[in-house]
Amino acid sequence: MENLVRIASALRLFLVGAMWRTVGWRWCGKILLKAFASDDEDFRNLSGIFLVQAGLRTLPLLREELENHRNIPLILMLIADIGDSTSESLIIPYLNYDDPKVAEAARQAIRTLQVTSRLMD
Amino acid sequence: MAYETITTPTKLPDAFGLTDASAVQSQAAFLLYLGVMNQSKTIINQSFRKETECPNSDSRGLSEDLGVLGITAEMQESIQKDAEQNSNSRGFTLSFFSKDREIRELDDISDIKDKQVGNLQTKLFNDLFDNSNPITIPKLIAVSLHHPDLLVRVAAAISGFDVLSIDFGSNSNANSELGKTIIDGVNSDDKLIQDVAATALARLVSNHQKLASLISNSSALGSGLTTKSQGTIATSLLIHGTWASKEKWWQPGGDFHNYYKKTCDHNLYSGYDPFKWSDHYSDSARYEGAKELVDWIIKNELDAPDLIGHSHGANIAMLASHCHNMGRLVLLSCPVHWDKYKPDFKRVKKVVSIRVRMDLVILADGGGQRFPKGSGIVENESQHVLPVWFWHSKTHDEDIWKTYNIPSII
Repeated sequence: MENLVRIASALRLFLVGAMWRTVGWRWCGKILLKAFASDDEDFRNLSGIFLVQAGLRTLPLLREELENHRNIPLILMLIADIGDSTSESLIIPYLNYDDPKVAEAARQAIRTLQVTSRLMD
Repeated sequence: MAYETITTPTKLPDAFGLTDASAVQSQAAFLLYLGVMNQSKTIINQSFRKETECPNSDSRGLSEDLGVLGITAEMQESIQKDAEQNSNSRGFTLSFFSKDREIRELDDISDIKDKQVGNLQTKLFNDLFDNSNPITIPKLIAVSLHHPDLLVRVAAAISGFDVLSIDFGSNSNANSELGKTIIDGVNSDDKLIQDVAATALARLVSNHQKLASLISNSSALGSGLTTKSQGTIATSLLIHGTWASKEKWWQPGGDFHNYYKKTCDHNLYSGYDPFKWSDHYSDSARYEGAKELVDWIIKNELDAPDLIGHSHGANIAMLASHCHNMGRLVLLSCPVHWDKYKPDFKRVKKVVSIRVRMDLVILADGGGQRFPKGSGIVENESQHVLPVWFWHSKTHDEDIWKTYNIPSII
Protein backbone atom coordinates (compact mmCIF):
# COMPACT_ATOMS: atom_id res chain seq x y z
CA MET A 1 0.00 0.00 0.00
CA GLU A 2 2.77 2.39 0.98
CA ASN A 3 4.53 1.62 -2.26
CA LEU A 4 1.38 2.35 -4.24
CA VAL A 5 1.06 5.72 -2.57
CA ARG A 6 4.68 6.49 -3.38
CA ILE A 7 4.21 5.48 -7.01
CA ALA A 8 1.08 7.62 -7.25
CA SER A 9 3.02 10.56 -5.81
CA ALA A 10 5.84 10.03 -8.29
CA LEU A 11 3.43 9.84 -11.22
CA ARG A 12 1.79 13.02 -10.00
CA LEU A 13 5.21 14.66 -10.04
CA PHE A 14 5.72 13.51 -13.64
CA LEU A 15 2.39 15.03 -14.60
CA VAL A 16 3.07 18.26 -12.72
CA GLY A 17 6.57 18.39 -14.22
CA ALA A 18 5.17 18.08 -17.74
CA MET A 19 2.59 20.80 -17.08
CA TRP A 20 5.19 23.12 -15.59
CA ARG A 21 7.37 22.71 -18.64
CA THR A 22 4.65 23.12 -21.22
CA VAL A 23 1.99 25.37 -19.69
CA GLY A 24 3.94 26.94 -16.84
CA TRP A 25 1.15 27.03 -14.30
CA ARG A 26 2.57 28.54 -11.19
CA TRP A 27 1.06 26.02 -8.79
CA CYS A 28 2.90 23.27 -10.68
CA GLY A 29 6.23 24.97 -10.04
CA LYS A 30 5.29 25.39 -6.39
CA ILE A 31 4.55 21.67 -6.04
CA LEU A 32 7.89 20.82 -7.61
CA LEU A 33 9.73 23.21 -5.29
CA LYS A 34 8.05 21.67 -2.27
CA ALA A 35 9.04 18.18 -3.37
CA PHE A 36 12.60 19.34 -4.02
CA ALA A 37 12.91 20.38 -0.39
CA SER A 38 11.80 16.96 0.86
CA ASP A 39 14.02 14.41 2.58
CA ASP A 40 13.09 11.69 0.12
CA GLU A 41 16.00 11.23 -2.27
CA ASP A 42 13.83 9.92 -5.12
CA PHE A 43 11.26 12.72 -4.97
CA ARG A 44 13.99 15.31 -4.61
CA ASN A 45 15.71 14.00 -7.73
CA LEU A 46 12.51 13.86 -9.78
CA SER A 47 11.30 17.34 -8.90
CA GLY A 48 14.79 18.86 -9.20
CA ILE A 49 15.23 17.41 -12.68
CA PHE A 50 11.85 18.77 -13.79
CA LEU A 51 12.64 22.23 -12.43
CA VAL A 52 16.04 22.34 -14.13
CA GLN A 53 14.67 20.99 -17.39
CA ALA A 54 12.11 23.79 -17.49
CA GLY A 55 15.08 26.18 -17.56
CA LEU A 56 14.29 29.88 -17.83
CA ARG A 57 10.65 29.24 -16.98
CA THR A 58 11.73 28.23 -13.49
CA LEU A 59 13.93 31.27 -12.83
CA PRO A 60 11.20 33.80 -11.85
CA LEU A 61 9.84 31.29 -9.34
CA LEU A 62 13.31 30.83 -7.85
CA ARG A 63 13.84 34.59 -7.70
CA GLU A 64 10.60 34.89 -5.77
CA GLU A 65 11.72 32.19 -3.31
CA LEU A 66 14.94 34.12 -2.73
CA GLU A 67 13.01 37.32 -2.10
CA ASN A 68 10.96 35.48 0.51
CA HIS A 69 14.07 33.91 2.07
CA ARG A 70 12.83 30.38 1.56
CA ASN A 71 15.28 27.43 1.22
CA ILE A 72 17.99 29.75 -0.05
CA PRO A 73 20.81 27.15 -0.40
CA LEU A 74 18.58 24.82 -2.44
CA ILE A 75 17.33 27.66 -4.61
CA LEU A 76 20.87 28.89 -5.33
CA MET A 77 21.79 25.37 -6.35
CA LEU A 78 18.89 25.16 -8.81
CA ILE A 79 19.70 28.56 -10.30
CA ALA A 80 23.24 27.35 -11.03
CA ASP A 81 22.01 24.05 -12.44
CA ILE A 82 19.75 25.85 -14.90
CA GLY A 83 23.02 27.29 -16.15
CA ASP A 84 21.97 30.70 -17.43
CA SER A 85 25.04 32.89 -16.98
CA THR A 86 22.95 36.06 -16.61
CA SER A 87 21.54 34.69 -13.37
CA GLU A 88 24.93 35.14 -11.67
CA SER A 89 23.65 38.48 -10.41
CA LEU A 90 20.96 36.64 -8.45
CA ILE A 91 23.62 34.63 -6.61
CA ILE A 92 26.31 37.24 -5.93
CA PRO A 93 24.47 39.04 -3.08
CA TYR A 94 24.54 35.80 -1.10
CA LEU A 95 28.31 35.32 -1.22
CA ASN A 96 28.77 37.23 2.03
CA TYR A 97 25.55 36.15 3.67
CA ASP A 98 25.57 35.78 7.46
CA ASP A 99 24.49 32.15 7.39
CA PRO A 100 27.60 30.18 6.33
CA LYS A 101 25.43 27.50 4.67
CA VAL A 102 24.00 30.13 2.35
CA ALA A 103 27.40 31.72 1.64
CA GLU A 104 28.86 28.29 0.85
CA ALA A 105 25.94 27.41 -1.44
CA ALA A 106 26.42 30.73 -3.25
CA ARG A 107 30.14 30.10 -3.76
CA GLN A 108 29.44 26.62 -5.11
CA ALA A 109 26.70 27.97 -7.37
CA ILE A 110 29.02 30.60 -8.85
CA ARG A 111 31.68 27.94 -9.41
CA THR A 112 29.19 25.70 -11.23
CA LEU A 113 27.97 28.57 -13.41
CA GLN A 114 31.54 29.51 -14.30
CA VAL A 115 32.51 25.96 -15.26
CA THR A 116 29.32 25.62 -17.27
CA SER A 117 30.05 28.77 -19.20
CA ARG A 118 33.69 27.66 -19.76
CA LEU A 119 32.48 24.34 -21.17
CA MET A 120 30.04 26.11 -23.47
CA ASP A 121 32.71 28.45 -24.90
CA MET B 1 37.08 10.99 28.67
CA ALA B 2 34.58 9.25 26.44
CA TYR B 3 33.53 11.72 23.80
CA GLU B 4 29.80 11.82 23.28
CA THR B 5 28.28 12.51 19.87
CA ILE B 6 28.02 16.25 19.42
CA THR B 7 25.03 17.68 17.62
CA THR B 8 25.54 21.29 18.67
CA PRO B 9 29.22 22.09 19.13
CA THR B 10 30.40 24.68 21.62
CA LYS B 11 31.34 27.88 19.82
CA LEU B 12 34.76 29.46 19.92
CA PRO B 13 36.19 31.25 21.78
CA ASP B 14 33.76 30.18 24.54
CA ALA B 15 35.06 26.61 24.21
CA PHE B 16 38.49 27.70 25.45
CA GLY B 17 38.53 27.46 29.20
CA LEU B 18 35.88 24.73 29.25
CA THR B 19 36.77 21.08 29.59
CA ASP B 20 33.54 19.27 28.74
CA ALA B 21 33.48 16.94 25.73
CA SER B 22 31.84 19.40 23.36
CA ALA B 23 34.23 22.24 24.22
CA VAL B 24 37.28 20.02 23.98
CA GLN B 25 36.25 18.76 20.54
CA SER B 26 35.64 22.31 19.30
CA GLN B 27 39.13 23.30 20.44
CA ALA B 28 40.69 20.25 18.80
CA ALA B 29 38.84 20.90 15.54
CA PHE B 30 40.01 24.52 15.45
CA LEU B 31 43.63 23.59 16.13
CA LEU B 32 43.59 20.95 13.38
CA TYR B 33 42.09 23.52 11.02
CA LEU B 34 44.89 25.97 11.81
CA GLY B 35 47.41 23.26 10.97
CA VAL B 36 45.80 22.45 7.65
CA MET B 37 45.66 26.12 6.71
CA ASN B 38 49.28 26.70 7.60
CA GLN B 39 50.95 23.74 5.92
CA SER B 40 53.86 24.98 3.86
CA LYS B 41 53.07 25.61 0.20
CA THR B 42 55.81 23.24 -0.89
CA ILE B 43 54.25 20.33 0.93
CA ILE B 44 50.80 21.14 -0.37
CA ASN B 45 52.03 21.33 -3.94
CA GLN B 46 53.75 17.98 -3.58
CA SER B 47 50.67 16.29 -2.28
CA PHE B 48 48.41 17.75 -4.95
CA ARG B 49 51.11 17.18 -7.58
CA LYS B 50 50.28 20.42 -9.26
CA GLU B 51 50.56 24.11 -8.65
CA THR B 52 47.97 25.16 -6.16
CA GLU B 53 47.28 28.11 -3.98
CA CYS B 54 47.26 27.75 -0.24
CA PRO B 55 44.20 25.72 0.70
CA ASN B 56 41.24 27.66 1.94
CA SER B 57 38.39 26.50 4.11
CA ASP B 58 36.13 26.73 1.11
CA SER B 59 38.18 24.32 -1.00
CA ARG B 60 38.34 21.98 1.97
CA GLY B 61 34.57 22.12 2.35
CA LEU B 62 35.01 23.42 5.88
CA SER B 63 33.61 26.91 5.76
CA GLU B 64 30.07 25.94 6.64
CA ASP B 65 31.08 23.90 9.70
CA LEU B 66 33.55 26.55 10.80
CA GLY B 67 30.70 29.04 10.75
CA VAL B 68 28.76 26.84 13.16
CA LEU B 69 31.85 26.76 15.39
CA GLY B 70 31.79 30.55 15.51
CA ILE B 71 34.49 31.20 12.91
CA THR B 72 32.74 33.60 10.58
CA ALA B 73 33.59 33.94 6.89
CA GLU B 74 35.49 37.14 7.74
CA MET B 75 37.54 35.32 10.38
CA GLN B 76 38.25 32.48 7.96
CA GLU B 77 39.47 35.00 5.44
CA SER B 78 41.73 36.57 8.03
CA ILE B 79 43.26 33.17 8.87
CA GLN B 80 43.68 32.46 5.17
CA LYS B 81 45.43 35.80 4.67
CA ASP B 82 47.69 35.17 7.63
CA ALA B 83 48.59 31.74 6.25
CA GLU B 84 49.41 33.16 2.83
CA GLN B 85 51.57 35.91 4.26
CA ASN B 86 53.44 33.79 6.75
CA SER B 87 53.70 30.39 5.08
CA ASN B 88 57.32 29.19 5.32
CA SER B 89 58.43 32.35 7.06
CA ARG B 90 57.34 32.15 10.66
CA GLY B 91 60.96 31.77 11.70
CA PHE B 92 60.73 29.30 14.56
CA THR B 93 61.83 25.73 15.07
CA LEU B 94 60.84 22.56 16.82
CA SER B 95 62.33 23.70 20.13
CA PHE B 96 59.63 26.33 20.25
CA PHE B 97 57.22 23.59 21.27
CA SER B 98 59.45 22.04 23.91
CA LYS B 99 58.11 21.99 27.46
CA ASP B 100 61.57 21.44 28.87
CA ARG B 101 63.20 24.60 27.67
CA GLU B 102 62.91 28.14 28.78
CA ILE B 103 61.19 29.60 25.77
CA ARG B 104 62.09 33.20 25.32
CA GLU B 105 59.25 34.04 22.98
CA LEU B 106 56.84 32.44 25.38
CA ASP B 107 58.16 33.66 28.68
CA ASP B 108 54.62 34.42 29.73
CA ILE B 109 53.62 30.77 29.47
CA SER B 110 56.80 28.91 30.41
CA ASP B 111 55.37 27.87 33.76
CA ILE B 112 51.85 27.40 32.68
CA LYS B 113 49.21 25.92 34.95
CA ASP B 114 46.15 24.07 33.75
CA LYS B 115 43.77 26.85 34.68
CA GLN B 116 45.75 29.41 32.76
CA VAL B 117 45.57 27.47 29.52
CA GLY B 118 42.02 28.52 28.73
CA ASN B 119 42.67 32.18 29.41
CA LEU B 120 45.78 32.21 27.24
CA GLN B 121 44.06 30.30 24.46
CA THR B 122 41.23 32.84 24.48
CA LYS B 123 43.65 35.75 24.42
CA LEU B 124 45.65 34.27 21.53
CA PHE B 125 42.47 33.38 19.66
CA ASN B 126 41.34 37.00 19.89
CA ASP B 127 44.83 38.17 18.89
CA LEU B 128 44.52 36.08 15.74
CA PHE B 129 41.89 38.46 14.45
CA ASP B 130 42.79 41.73 16.15
CA ASN B 131 46.50 41.74 16.70
CA SER B 132 48.01 38.89 14.72
CA ASN B 133 51.69 38.41 14.04
CA PRO B 134 53.57 35.42 12.58
CA ILE B 135 54.02 33.91 16.03
CA THR B 136 50.39 34.03 17.20
CA ILE B 137 49.40 30.68 15.72
CA PRO B 138 52.52 28.82 16.95
CA LYS B 139 51.90 30.36 20.38
CA LEU B 140 48.30 29.13 20.43
CA ILE B 141 49.53 25.67 19.47
CA ALA B 142 52.26 25.76 22.14
CA VAL B 143 49.79 26.82 24.83
CA SER B 144 47.36 24.11 23.76
CA LEU B 145 50.07 21.49 24.25
CA HIS B 146 49.64 22.18 27.98
CA HIS B 147 45.91 21.49 27.91
CA PRO B 148 44.68 18.92 30.46
CA ASP B 149 42.80 16.97 27.78
CA LEU B 150 44.80 14.63 25.54
CA LEU B 151 42.60 15.24 22.50
CA VAL B 152 43.46 18.95 22.52
CA ARG B 153 47.15 18.19 23.06
CA VAL B 154 47.17 15.70 20.17
CA ALA B 155 45.41 18.18 17.88
CA ALA B 156 47.95 20.85 18.86
CA ALA B 157 50.85 18.50 18.17
CA ILE B 158 49.49 17.59 14.73
CA SER B 159 49.06 21.27 13.96
CA GLY B 160 52.61 21.92 15.13
CA PHE B 161 53.94 19.39 12.63
CA ASP B 162 51.81 20.89 9.89
CA VAL B 163 53.01 24.41 10.58
CA LEU B 164 56.64 23.34 10.74
CA SER B 165 56.32 20.91 7.81
CA ILE B 166 59.04 18.73 9.25
CA ASP B 167 59.69 15.06 8.75
CA PHE B 168 58.28 12.90 11.52
CA GLY B 169 60.57 10.11 10.32
CA SER B 170 63.73 11.58 11.85
CA ASN B 171 64.50 10.53 15.43
CA SER B 172 64.83 14.02 16.81
CA ASN B 173 61.46 15.05 15.46
CA ALA B 174 59.70 11.87 16.56
CA ASN B 175 61.15 12.21 20.06
CA SER B 176 60.18 15.84 20.38
CA GLU B 177 57.31 17.00 22.55
CA LEU B 178 55.12 17.06 19.46
CA GLY B 179 56.09 13.58 18.31
CA LYS B 180 55.63 12.07 21.74
CA THR B 181 52.21 13.65 22.10
CA ILE B 182 51.02 12.14 18.83
CA ILE B 183 52.27 8.70 19.89
CA ASP B 184 50.50 9.14 23.25
CA GLY B 185 47.37 9.71 21.22
CA VAL B 186 47.90 6.58 19.14
CA ASN B 187 48.34 4.62 22.38
CA SER B 188 45.19 6.09 23.88
CA ASP B 189 42.29 3.83 24.80
CA ASP B 190 39.92 6.46 23.55
CA LYS B 191 38.83 5.63 20.01
CA LEU B 192 38.44 9.25 18.91
CA ILE B 193 41.88 10.29 20.13
CA GLN B 194 43.44 7.17 18.62
CA ASP B 195 41.76 7.78 15.26
CA VAL B 196 42.82 11.42 15.13
CA ALA B 197 46.40 10.64 16.11
CA ALA B 198 46.78 7.59 13.88
CA THR B 199 45.30 9.34 10.86
CA ALA B 200 47.76 12.19 11.32
CA LEU B 201 50.64 9.80 11.88
CA ALA B 202 49.79 7.98 8.66
CA ARG B 203 49.94 11.29 6.84
CA LEU B 204 53.18 12.44 8.47
CA VAL B 205 55.09 9.17 8.26
CA SER B 206 53.15 6.49 6.45
CA ASN B 207 55.27 3.51 7.44
CA HIS B 208 55.52 4.14 11.17
CA GLN B 209 55.75 0.85 13.08
CA LYS B 210 52.99 1.99 15.41
CA LEU B 211 50.57 2.02 12.48
CA ALA B 212 51.62 -1.40 11.30
CA SER B 213 50.93 -2.82 14.74
CA LEU B 214 47.54 -1.12 14.87
CA ILE B 215 46.55 -2.54 11.50
CA SER B 216 47.76 -6.05 12.32
CA ASN B 217 45.79 -5.89 15.56
CA SER B 218 42.67 -5.18 13.50
CA SER B 219 42.20 -2.00 15.36
CA ALA B 220 39.00 -0.10 14.85
CA LEU B 221 41.08 2.55 13.12
CA GLY B 222 39.49 4.29 10.17
CA SER B 223 40.45 1.65 7.67
CA GLY B 224 40.73 4.10 4.84
CA LEU B 225 44.28 4.33 6.08
CA THR B 226 46.77 2.81 3.77
CA THR B 227 50.48 2.94 4.22
CA LYS B 228 53.10 3.35 1.55
CA SER B 229 54.87 0.25 2.82
CA GLN B 230 51.63 -1.65 2.53
CA GLY B 231 50.54 -0.19 -0.77
CA THR B 232 48.73 -3.36 -1.77
CA ILE B 233 45.93 -2.83 0.74
CA ALA B 234 42.75 -2.67 -1.33
CA THR B 235 40.71 0.46 -0.88
CA SER B 236 37.36 1.47 -2.19
CA LEU B 237 35.12 4.49 -1.86
CA LEU B 238 31.48 5.40 -2.23
CA ILE B 239 30.43 8.30 -4.43
CA HIS B 240 27.08 10.00 -3.93
CA GLY B 241 24.80 11.18 -6.70
CA THR B 242 23.11 14.47 -7.58
CA TRP B 243 21.64 16.50 -4.70
CA ALA B 244 22.79 13.80 -2.30
CA SER B 245 26.01 15.10 -0.74
CA LYS B 246 24.23 15.60 2.57
CA GLU B 247 22.63 12.14 2.60
CA LYS B 248 23.91 9.91 5.37
CA TRP B 249 23.92 6.53 3.58
CA TRP B 250 27.23 7.01 1.75
CA GLN B 251 29.16 8.76 4.52
CA PRO B 252 31.32 6.96 7.10
CA GLY B 253 28.91 5.80 9.78
CA GLY B 254 25.95 5.81 7.37
CA ASP B 255 23.87 2.66 7.00
CA PHE B 256 24.97 1.64 3.51
CA HIS B 257 28.56 2.63 4.21
CA ASN B 258 28.59 0.38 7.29
CA TYR B 259 26.97 -2.47 5.40
CA TYR B 260 29.37 -2.29 2.44
CA LYS B 261 32.38 -2.04 4.71
CA LYS B 262 31.29 -5.02 6.77
CA THR B 263 30.17 -7.21 3.90
CA CYS B 264 32.11 -6.29 0.78
CA ASP B 265 35.33 -4.50 1.62
CA HIS B 266 36.77 -3.89 5.05
CA ASN B 267 39.06 -1.35 3.45
CA LEU B 268 36.29 0.95 2.28
CA TYR B 269 37.54 4.51 2.81
CA SER B 270 36.31 5.67 6.20
CA GLY B 271 38.55 8.64 6.90
CA TYR B 272 37.42 11.99 8.17
CA ASP B 273 37.30 13.62 4.75
CA PRO B 274 35.41 11.33 2.37
CA PHE B 275 35.23 12.41 -1.25
CA LYS B 276 32.32 14.74 -1.90
CA TRP B 277 31.50 16.58 -5.11
CA SER B 278 29.31 19.61 -5.66
CA ASP B 279 26.27 17.36 -6.40
CA HIS B 280 24.88 19.88 -8.87
CA TYR B 281 22.80 18.68 -11.80
CA SER B 282 24.84 19.59 -14.85
CA ASP B 283 27.48 18.16 -17.15
CA SER B 284 29.96 20.75 -15.94
CA ALA B 285 29.46 19.75 -12.32
CA ARG B 286 30.14 16.12 -13.26
CA TYR B 287 33.31 16.93 -15.20
CA GLU B 288 34.48 19.09 -12.31
CA GLY B 289 33.51 16.31 -9.90
CA ALA B 290 35.61 13.79 -11.85
CA LYS B 291 38.64 16.12 -11.75
CA GLU B 292 38.18 16.58 -8.01
CA LEU B 293 37.87 12.83 -7.55
CA VAL B 294 41.19 12.20 -9.30
CA ASP B 295 42.85 14.91 -7.17
CA TRP B 296 41.35 13.36 -4.05
CA ILE B 297 42.58 9.87 -4.96
CA ILE B 298 46.09 11.19 -5.63
CA LYS B 299 46.11 13.23 -2.44
CA ASN B 300 45.02 10.24 -0.39
CA GLU B 301 47.49 7.98 -2.22
CA LEU B 302 44.92 5.32 -3.07
CA ASP B 303 46.19 2.73 -5.46
CA ALA B 304 43.56 1.79 -8.09
CA PRO B 305 40.59 1.96 -5.73
CA ASP B 306 37.22 0.34 -6.36
CA LEU B 307 34.64 3.06 -6.95
CA ILE B 308 31.02 2.48 -6.02
CA GLY B 309 29.02 5.32 -7.53
CA HIS B 310 25.31 5.98 -7.28
CA SER B 311 23.34 7.78 -9.98
CA HIS B 312 25.47 10.51 -11.58
CA GLY B 313 28.17 9.62 -9.05
CA ALA B 314 28.62 6.53 -11.24
CA ASN B 315 29.19 8.77 -14.26
CA ILE B 316 31.79 10.70 -12.30
CA ALA B 317 33.55 7.42 -11.49
CA MET B 318 33.60 6.50 -15.20
CA LEU B 319 34.97 9.91 -16.21
CA ALA B 320 37.67 9.73 -13.53
CA SER B 321 38.89 6.39 -14.90
CA HIS B 322 40.29 8.28 -17.91
CA CYS B 323 42.87 9.95 -15.65
CA HIS B 324 43.70 7.32 -13.04
CA ASN B 325 43.86 3.54 -12.76
CA MET B 326 40.88 2.10 -10.92
CA GLY B 327 39.90 -1.29 -9.59
CA ARG B 328 36.24 -2.19 -10.03
CA LEU B 329 33.63 0.37 -11.02
CA VAL B 330 30.32 -0.54 -9.42
CA LEU B 331 27.64 1.60 -11.07
CA LEU B 332 24.41 1.83 -9.08
CA SER B 333 21.33 3.21 -10.86
CA CYS B 334 23.54 4.95 -13.38
CA PRO B 335 21.74 7.23 -15.86
CA VAL B 336 23.41 6.09 -19.07
CA HIS B 337 24.64 8.87 -21.37
CA TRP B 338 27.08 6.79 -23.35
CA ASP B 339 28.04 9.62 -25.68
CA LYS B 340 29.24 11.65 -22.70
CA TYR B 341 30.20 9.28 -19.91
CA LYS B 342 32.02 6.02 -20.41
CA PRO B 343 34.90 4.34 -18.62
CA ASP B 344 38.41 3.87 -19.94
CA PHE B 345 38.34 0.07 -19.99
CA LYS B 346 42.15 -0.06 -20.17
CA ARG B 347 42.37 1.60 -16.76
CA VAL B 348 39.68 -0.38 -14.92
CA LYS B 349 39.70 -3.99 -13.81
CA LYS B 350 35.98 -4.57 -14.05
CA VAL B 351 32.75 -2.64 -14.58
CA VAL B 352 29.51 -3.82 -12.98
CA SER B 353 26.17 -2.07 -13.33
CA ILE B 354 23.28 -2.66 -10.92
CA ARG B 355 19.92 -1.10 -11.61
CA VAL B 356 16.21 -1.38 -10.95
CA ARG B 357 13.52 -1.74 -13.58
CA MET B 358 12.09 1.42 -15.07
CA ASP B 359 13.96 3.75 -12.79
CA LEU B 360 11.77 6.86 -12.53
CA VAL B 361 14.63 9.25 -11.86
CA ILE B 362 16.52 8.00 -14.91
CA LEU B 363 13.31 8.40 -16.90
CA ALA B 364 13.06 12.00 -15.78
CA ASP B 365 16.76 12.57 -16.42
CA GLY B 366 16.38 11.33 -19.99
CA GLY B 367 19.30 8.95 -19.63
CA GLY B 368 19.34 5.35 -20.74
CA GLN B 369 18.36 2.66 -18.27
CA ARG B 370 20.84 0.19 -19.71
CA PHE B 371 24.23 0.36 -21.34
CA PRO B 372 24.08 -0.06 -25.11
CA LYS B 373 25.12 -3.22 -26.94
CA GLY B 374 28.76 -3.00 -27.88
CA SER B 375 29.53 -0.79 -24.91
CA GLY B 376 31.57 -3.52 -23.26
CA ILE B 377 29.17 -3.66 -20.32
CA VAL B 378 27.33 -6.84 -21.21
CA GLU B 379 23.76 -7.63 -20.15
CA ASN B 380 23.56 -10.41 -17.54
CA GLU B 381 27.34 -10.56 -17.24
CA SER B 382 28.26 -7.15 -15.96
CA GLN B 383 24.89 -5.44 -16.24
CA HIS B 384 22.37 -6.68 -13.67
CA VAL B 385 18.74 -5.71 -13.43
CA LEU B 386 17.16 -6.29 -10.02
CA PRO B 387 13.57 -7.51 -9.84
CA VAL B 388 12.70 -4.23 -8.17
CA TRP B 389 10.80 -1.46 -9.85
CA PHE B 390 10.92 2.32 -10.07
CA TRP B 391 12.99 3.50 -7.13
CA HIS B 392 16.35 4.98 -7.94
CA SER B 393 17.58 4.87 -4.35
CA LYS B 394 16.91 1.15 -3.87
CA THR B 395 20.33 0.22 -5.25
CA HIS B 396 21.95 1.64 -2.13
CA ASP B 397 19.47 0.00 0.23
CA GLU B 398 21.07 -2.53 2.56
CA ASP B 399 17.97 -4.77 2.58
CA ILE B 400 17.95 -4.95 -1.21
CA TRP B 401 21.63 -5.90 -1.22
CA LYS B 402 20.94 -8.66 1.28
CA THR B 403 17.79 -9.94 -0.43
CA TYR B 404 19.37 -10.17 -3.87
CA ASN B 405 22.84 -11.09 -2.67
CA ILE B 406 24.43 -8.25 -4.59
CA PRO B 407 27.86 -8.75 -2.97
CA SER B 408 28.15 -12.02 -4.90
CA ILE B 409 27.32 -10.23 -8.17
CA ILE B 410 29.89 -7.50 -7.95
